[in-house]
Amino acid sequence: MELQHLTIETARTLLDTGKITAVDLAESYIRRAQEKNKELNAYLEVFDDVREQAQRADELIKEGKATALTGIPIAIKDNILIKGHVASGASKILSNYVATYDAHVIEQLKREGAIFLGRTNMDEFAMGSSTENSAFGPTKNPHDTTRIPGGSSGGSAAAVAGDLAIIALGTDTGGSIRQPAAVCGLVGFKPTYGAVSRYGAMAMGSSLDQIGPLAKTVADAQTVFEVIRGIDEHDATSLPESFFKKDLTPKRIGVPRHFFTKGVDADVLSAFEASIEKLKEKGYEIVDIELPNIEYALAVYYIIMPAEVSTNLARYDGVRYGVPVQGDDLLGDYMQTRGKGFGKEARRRILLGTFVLSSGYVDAYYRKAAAVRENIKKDFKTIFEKVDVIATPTTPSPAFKIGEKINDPLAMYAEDIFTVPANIAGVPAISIPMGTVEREGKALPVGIQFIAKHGADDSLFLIGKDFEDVFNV
Amino acid sequence: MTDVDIKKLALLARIAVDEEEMQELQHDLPEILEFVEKIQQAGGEIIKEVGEHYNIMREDGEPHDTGAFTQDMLSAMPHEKDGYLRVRKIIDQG
Repeated sequence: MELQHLTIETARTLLDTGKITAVDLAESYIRRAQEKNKELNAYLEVFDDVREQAQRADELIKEGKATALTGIPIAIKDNILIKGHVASGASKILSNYVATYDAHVIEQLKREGAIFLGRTNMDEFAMGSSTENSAFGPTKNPHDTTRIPGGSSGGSAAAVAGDLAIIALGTDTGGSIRQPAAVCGLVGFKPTYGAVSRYGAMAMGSSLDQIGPLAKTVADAQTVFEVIRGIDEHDATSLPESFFKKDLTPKRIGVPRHFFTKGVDADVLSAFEASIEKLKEKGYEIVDIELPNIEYALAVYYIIMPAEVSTNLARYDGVRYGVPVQGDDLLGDYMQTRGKGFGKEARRRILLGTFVLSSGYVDAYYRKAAAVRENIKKDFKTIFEKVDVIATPTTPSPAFKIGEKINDPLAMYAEDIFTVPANIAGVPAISIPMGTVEREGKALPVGIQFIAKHGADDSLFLIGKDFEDVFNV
Repeated sequence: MTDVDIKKLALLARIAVDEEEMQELQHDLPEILEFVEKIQQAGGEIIKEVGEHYNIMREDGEPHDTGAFTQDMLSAMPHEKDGYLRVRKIIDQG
């Protein structure tokens, strides 16, 4: 039986009613992964213990102990640690690194009996918006294989969009879940900063990073989030349950139109306006809003993030683990290991971060950025007293061509314009498909983004499901 | 445009950069810096507020049993001998 186009919900019903086993389901996905991965390069590795995992899940189901994700095949981004498996961050410097422990989210998923199919390709250490910065070749967009799948969680997005997994985990530092979800036609959710423990996820920008799901539906994204969320003593930013707001019913949507006056493709903008119109018909109130400091968000991001990158990636030196390259002396060992082990974009960001933190420049760049960040946070706080949710397009354009922006870092960075503000402020945000636009005769997906206040993650699922309802009519 | 000493940055960051890339970075980094410098125009009063997050410390004491991770960590080491990490000699007695 060929099992495809399944959501968690449909797979759950098939499993729980005994129509299929977890082994059937897993093998069906593995077969497709092996077939289609040559073209897509979504997976860096398909695991060889999938059948054993599925057999354990079948036992749980037989014993009546199945929970939401028991037996559900999931793809994991290569920067999240699964004990005993390679976790390389799609970098040469960690290409031989075998994880010595499970990330917190992996522990949670194991408890559920979810099936880890493999580890997915990504921009090296999650730095990029196209998955072209992987040391192991680019991933292709299943909707048009000449185009990028977004990034940095591009392998996770291509795996779900190409039906090589039902769901996937990604990480989002400046849009790395939402942007690939948008350009691959999926739902991508970045939780409130502190909602999901990052223990066992490779740190990139520690004040920005969050783990979250990529899925085919809002309900699936919510199901995964409910499993992986929760307080964890191993992540000092972890927030208690009491912080999260329940029983919210979002009614008023703020639209910061001043933020999309330039740089957004006309057909993306009209898809967005049509979506807003549908929400209005559904009974939502639409309010024009202004976020005065949001125009600085991208600049703030490209100071704070590289600063944190240069600090976090200092640990990769080939001494205790990883791939060492010998130099003439000890200093030469470090220089060669890091010079050869890191890819071009990683090297560029480390140097940029080193610069903005260096003596004589730290006040003008890093400290000033940190101050402007506070103003952006304040803007969000003020606006969320007036509206429940903010809506924007997720990206200014659909998926671009592989190679189109790789030599123009600023053009690549502009891809993150609508997604970084949520990371800067630490608030939750979700991207949901809002149809397609046409490029060279191909229909390419685009997404709408909803942002809510701290801890109001659930309100994004509510409005997201409403949006799916009106959109699919 | 801000003058950037790539050689010095590369040494600070412990990253060997070849001549060709040096040229590229000499172009890219000032261009990126020019873009991010727009934050200098950001006005408004800067008030640092206390956020929801604060450092959470564990209790003093042993976090885990001694040796619980030793084998796993040793097996990840590029140069390991008799339970030790081998590093290059750093004292030159020349």
